[in-house]
Amino acid sequence: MARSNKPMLWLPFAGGGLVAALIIPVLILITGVLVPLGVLHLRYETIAAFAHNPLGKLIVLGAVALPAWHAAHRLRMTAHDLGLGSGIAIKAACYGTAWLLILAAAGALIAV
Amino acid sequence: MSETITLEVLRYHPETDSEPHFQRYVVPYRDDWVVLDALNHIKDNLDATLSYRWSCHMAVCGSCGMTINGEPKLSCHSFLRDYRGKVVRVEPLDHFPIERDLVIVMDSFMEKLGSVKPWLIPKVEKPLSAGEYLQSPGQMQVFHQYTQCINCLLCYAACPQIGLNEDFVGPAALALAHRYNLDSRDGGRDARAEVVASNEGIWECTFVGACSEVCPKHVDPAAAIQQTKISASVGWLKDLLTPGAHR
Amino acid sequence: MVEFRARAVVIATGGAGRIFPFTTNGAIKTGDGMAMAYRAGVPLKDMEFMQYHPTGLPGTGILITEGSRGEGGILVNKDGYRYLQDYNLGPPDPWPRKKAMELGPRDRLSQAFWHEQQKGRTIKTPHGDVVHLDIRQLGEKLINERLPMVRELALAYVGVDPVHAMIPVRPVVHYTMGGIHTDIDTATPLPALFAAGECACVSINGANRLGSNSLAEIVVFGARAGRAAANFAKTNPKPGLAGKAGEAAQARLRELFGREGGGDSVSSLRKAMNDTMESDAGIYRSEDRLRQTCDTLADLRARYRRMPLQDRSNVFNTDLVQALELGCMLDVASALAQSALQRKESRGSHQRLEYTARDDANYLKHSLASYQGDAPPTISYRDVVITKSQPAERVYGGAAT
Repeated sequence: MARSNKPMLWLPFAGGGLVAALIIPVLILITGVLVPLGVLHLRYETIAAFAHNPLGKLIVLGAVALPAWHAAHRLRMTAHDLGLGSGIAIKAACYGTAWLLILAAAGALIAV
Repeated sequence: MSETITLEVLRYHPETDSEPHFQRYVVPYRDDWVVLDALNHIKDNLDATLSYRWSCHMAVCGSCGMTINGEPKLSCHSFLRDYRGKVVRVEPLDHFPIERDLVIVMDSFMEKLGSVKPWLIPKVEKPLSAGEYLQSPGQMQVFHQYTQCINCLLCYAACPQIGLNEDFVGPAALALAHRYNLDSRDGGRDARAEVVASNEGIWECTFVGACSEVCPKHVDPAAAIQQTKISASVGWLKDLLTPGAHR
Repeated sequence: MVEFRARAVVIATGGAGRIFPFTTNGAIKTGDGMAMAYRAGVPLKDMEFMQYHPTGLPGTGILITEGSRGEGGILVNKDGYRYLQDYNLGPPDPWPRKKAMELGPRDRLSQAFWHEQQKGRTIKTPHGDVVHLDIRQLGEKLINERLPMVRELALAYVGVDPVHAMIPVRPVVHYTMGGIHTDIDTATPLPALFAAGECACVSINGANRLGSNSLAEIVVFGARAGRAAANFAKTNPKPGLAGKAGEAAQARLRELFGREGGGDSVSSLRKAMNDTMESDAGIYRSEDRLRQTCDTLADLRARYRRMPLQDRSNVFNTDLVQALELGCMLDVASALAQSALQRKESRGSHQRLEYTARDDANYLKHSLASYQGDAPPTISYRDVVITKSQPAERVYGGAAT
């Protein structure tokens, strides 16, 4: 028994859970329902300006990275619970996918 | 002929049985009887060889934990009126080896309990002559809920992570560690972290919450563990950013 | 069997309420430690003093804490009348106030119940006669804050919500004032043997224990016993092997396993013991009823020595455990009954119908019951140690001070 380094995985997981709970439903509502229905109008210029701003890039990255991490960690736990074990393959699949999403988002935000 | 109810009880005798089997008993149905009363009726009148643990008959000693119709419950707090018209299946608690009939081997739990150092480790040792460690009622309220554990093991029986990994320190032991960590007189958080913040400690928990659902004393061990995850993570960060500084 | 060789032993095995059928006590309170010391030659002191707590739930005997009266709860009979005022505990108001009415001592309250029962003023239930404990006037908020367990227990075990209805209660055997004779430092007359808590009798509690004093007692005397035993262990050698005594104990166990036939079982003998204790050695006692109990117990003890086990396994055999506990209970019960028979006065929780007054001239003494094997115990007496507080009349009730 020794103190675990799990906090390294758990802190972003917990943060991701908080962010996901707070903003994902609202984002889905806006981008998936209100905008397509024409209730809300988002101007490209406004969103682009937001993404050009360094603080804006950070916020968007956070909105993607933290929930992605949360999902990865949760899927890994669920795989363990379903009897799929917690070997290197599961970890690579889950966290690997999250890292891909995060890096892709980061790349896209830097490019914008 | 007055009303009766049937109990289907797990029997296991290591000296003669290769595996457990069920035995049926028909007992009187009484509105105010609990399953324990039915078991005592069986032992006193029908079959003195049935072995089970019990003592207080008022949900405070923690001895009579069993699986009743699939749920971990105290047999002294499971009312026959809730099973009227059905067969009551009585088995030992899940996730523990069976010693005999409804009696489980709980040695692993006793070890886990001891491993979290469940005693006051004062911040500064002082001799008796220096007087008492003072605590206000408000300070006591902070940890009061976590003192209510009766070690009944229903939470271990309910916890699916215990089912997957018997080395998990488990809800009751971790709730007890939390009780001491929250106690204003205590300074032992670091000393306990070796076990509490290990992979088999709080980090094996995935917040299923079944432990808190079955707890007869409303201790809420799930809350204790989640709160400990936060404090352990804060401690981990401190260690990372200022190694050795806070010890 | 396993042999423990210890330089000092502390017995802390609790009381013996399970010799009665209706008790707050858990299953394990069968006087085992008392019987062990008793059989080893240590007298049991003041065994006749058995406390009935006034408010137990009918049927289960579950304790409804005295705190419910401390917070202002009242006791009423079938006419809704606060009957305690008829027993020198009144006047009923102002309420609550100390040492009056429902805050009178436990022995007096239990005795009042018995009298109400004789007068036909108690309420009949399937689980025997009761009176009503009324805490409705305390209000839901206070009950949830200060008496949450009372509400939970009443709801679960008698289907009553004390916020809206009265709780049925009756006196229930609760605490054993008597026990293993020790001095003020927990030492018994047997060197290396100490005892503390309910199993012991220093005596701290006399003929009637006050509420909460057993908790204070175990904290104080538990610490004293620990220190005394440690000091003794430091200055005395380890004992030798048990030898013949160990072989004899093993032989007794084998003999018990080997018994055949007989119509008696643990549960049948235990029930017979419970029945005689409740009917003839309860709150109020008399000469013939106590003699009856002594005779019944002597008979039960003889039958016990022939009673076979129904479970002869070697793994977690609870029939064996209960049989051993029954043996202890029968010994302790006979010490109680004999001590009660010999004390021809009424004092605290020991009440004799033919001797209703307290007799300090002859009985300001502790009783000592000494084990005589198959024969009934012999009873001797020992003066009470009086230092600062002088014996006086126990007066309760009256106006508020």
